[in-house]
Amino acid sequence: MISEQDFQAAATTFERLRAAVGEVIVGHDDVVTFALISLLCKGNVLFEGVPGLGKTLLVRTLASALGLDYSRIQFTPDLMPADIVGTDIITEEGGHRAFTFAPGPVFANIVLADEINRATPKTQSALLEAMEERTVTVGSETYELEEPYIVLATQNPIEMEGTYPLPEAQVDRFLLKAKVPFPSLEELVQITERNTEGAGIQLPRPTASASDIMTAREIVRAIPVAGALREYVGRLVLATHPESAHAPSQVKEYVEYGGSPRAAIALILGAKAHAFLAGEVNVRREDIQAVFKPALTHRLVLNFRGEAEGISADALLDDVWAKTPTN
Amino acid sequence: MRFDFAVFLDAVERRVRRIKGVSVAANLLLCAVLTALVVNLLLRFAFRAIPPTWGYVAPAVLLAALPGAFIVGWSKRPVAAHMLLRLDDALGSHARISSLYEVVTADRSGLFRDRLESAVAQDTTDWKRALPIPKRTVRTLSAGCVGLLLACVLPLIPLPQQDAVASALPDGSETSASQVLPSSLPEATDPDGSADRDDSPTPMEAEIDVSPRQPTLETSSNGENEEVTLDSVLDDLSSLSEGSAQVDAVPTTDELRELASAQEAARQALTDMVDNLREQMSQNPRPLTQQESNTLQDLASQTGDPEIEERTDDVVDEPDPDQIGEKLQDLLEEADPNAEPPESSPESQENDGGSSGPSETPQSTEISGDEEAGQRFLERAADELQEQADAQAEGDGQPQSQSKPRDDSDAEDRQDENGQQVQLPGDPDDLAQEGGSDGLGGPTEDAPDGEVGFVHEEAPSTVGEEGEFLDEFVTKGVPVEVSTTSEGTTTRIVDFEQMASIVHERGLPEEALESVRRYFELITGLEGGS
Repeated sequence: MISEQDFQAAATTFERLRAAVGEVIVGHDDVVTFALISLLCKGNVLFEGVPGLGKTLLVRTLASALGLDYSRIQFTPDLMPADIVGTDIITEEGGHRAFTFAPGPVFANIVLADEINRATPKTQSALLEAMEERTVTVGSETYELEEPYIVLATQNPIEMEGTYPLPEAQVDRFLLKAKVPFPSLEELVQITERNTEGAGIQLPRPTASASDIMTAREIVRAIPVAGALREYVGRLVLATHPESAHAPSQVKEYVEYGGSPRAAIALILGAKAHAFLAGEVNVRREDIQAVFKPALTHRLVLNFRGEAEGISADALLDDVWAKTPTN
Repeated sequence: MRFDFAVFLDAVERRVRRIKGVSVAANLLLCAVLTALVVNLLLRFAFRAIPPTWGYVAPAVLLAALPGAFIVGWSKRPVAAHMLLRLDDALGSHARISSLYEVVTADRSGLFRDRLESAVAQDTTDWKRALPIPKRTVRTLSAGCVGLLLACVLPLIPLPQQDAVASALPDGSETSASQVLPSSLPEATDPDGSADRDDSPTPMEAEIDVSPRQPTLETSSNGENEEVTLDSVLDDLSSLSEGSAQVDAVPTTDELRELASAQEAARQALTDMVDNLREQMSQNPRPLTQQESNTLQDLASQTGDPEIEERTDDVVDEPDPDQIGEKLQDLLEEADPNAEPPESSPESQENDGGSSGPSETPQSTEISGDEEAGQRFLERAADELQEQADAQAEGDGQPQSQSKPRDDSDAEDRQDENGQQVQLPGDPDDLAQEGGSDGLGGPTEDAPDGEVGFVHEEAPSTVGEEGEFLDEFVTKGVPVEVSTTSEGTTTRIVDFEQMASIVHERGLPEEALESVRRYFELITGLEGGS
């Protein structure tokens, strides 16, 4: 049973964590929040933004603040799956040669998959098991990944040449997709100041432990959600399906596939985590709204007409949100 | 005091169910009121035969069902999750109440329940304001109450059309009916009831004058100078009688025709009597006797024409015998617009009669063949008329038989009293069958149907030396009573009323009317008198 002290301790831990990340990362509050939500929900997050916005720095800062193992994988077209998950190598010990498994970079608590869309689908799919099952199978052996485990992937929306867009099955494994915006003028000034003066950026010291995260995850899952809000979430997800009677006209016109049941789960879990980070003991409609677009934007597959006309998934989701009855 | 979520939930549910019940009842009330208004309007304008009180039945049934409607709305339990989320939204409690409901339903205890209960206890201090009666229900209820009041008052408001009908009808419906009837009604004297009448307007219908004497009809027809027929008038009266009990007293068609017949007969009798009196006054001016005055006034009143009554009063009230003749002439013109102007003097009449030789008219040829006998006959006829008037003045005060409206029964009564065989115009074919053979001519037998021909032919008659009036001159069916006293004196009395009726009834051409009329005058010694 979750006590008041546990709740307060977890809340305090994550407040400190946010503060520590904030000392390194200028702005990007929402991005940090989504990263924390993914961490609390045992999920993965996909960051989308142009290079140089601090995505890698964010992941490194988060891992440092959490005191967790961190690994970074730079995806390239010639990257092989074994380069990610690891491989068996022959070792000789005491005159005996044997295959010994050399873990890949996925064996960490926090994995940064940088520019994940530059690798081939085969290599990309090597992450699927790790992201969803939290296991890695090499040959006949299956290795469990240590919790807490989170994959934070990035992709560049501009350089599309020579890239391999993520298949829908893999995209669906990401709990949230957060767009990393370009910093504002004040933030940009602050970024230059931090990086050009003194000793430069110093990664924060650990402020939380793995056990703190596991406790927080337990608290988040215990947060109650009203039944009417669960129905509301269900209506929202169904409204993204063009064949649904509740779908807005734009969805019927431009959407090929809507959100999966994982989307509904992501919405509920993300709303719970958002409520926890806000210090609430129940899910509110604002919490659902906060994670609505991050949980659904990458799960919405536009049809040819939508792609041709440059329809934004966010615009469609705004329409869905506005036209779905709340109760 | 610890917040009891179960009690709170029960209170919220009761209020929501009450509001739902009121909402359903309000909707039913509005439907009932609309139904009542429609039914009332239908009863007032479309189904007047149905008593207006029936308009209360439908709304009464629906109103009686209002408690049932409330119970139906109240008995429908709301979904707690949705009801509480609506309450959360109304109170701005960020789904805490509905979340607490989930926690309580799951029978969870601990951190979340405690914190939610404390938060909900603060949020719901004034929760009832978050569940007001919906504005739509209030509007529906208000409209229903107003409509109900209107539906109750509506049957009590009389219809403007009914007022108009009531005001359009005079005190006596019979008087009203008589006013719409024409001054002459030939078919009223037809015992066959106008069996040969076709759909085309009869001369009587065409002669209906609605403008001066029927202001009621003018009003009802919006002042337009429409052609009004008897059927249309009767139809109007019949339609009016459907919606108003006052109009139920309007007489039937037969009654109206009977009334018109009586008035016409009275008018004709008055005309004849005035004509007779005027003739007498021209020869011997004298004041009217009381009997004559009473008879004139009685006949005038029976005509239903106030103008005639006024002229009659002028005659009766005239003390100067010399002026009575003029008054009689005025009255005659009023009673009979086709009446001839008075002759200049009896001498001129005689001169006129003497100058009219056989070459002028065949009819006069036979009569003027013995002017001396004719003159004696005229004198006797005048004396007999005077005697008859005096005798009736001494009688039971009843109007002269000449002035009575004539029908078959009256004619038979008269026949019994006088003991004479007089053929009255009960059979319209009498003249057509026998008139021609009597030598005066009449409608030819070979004339086409519907047309009346008039052929001049000489009557084979013989005039004696004494100049006696031969009965052969009196055509069968002509209203002339012939009686012979013990001294051998023959008395002939013409029923002028029936005479005019016969002439009118036969539909003779205008040029023949004068000849026939003159014939009657000559055989009764009243040449030039009318």
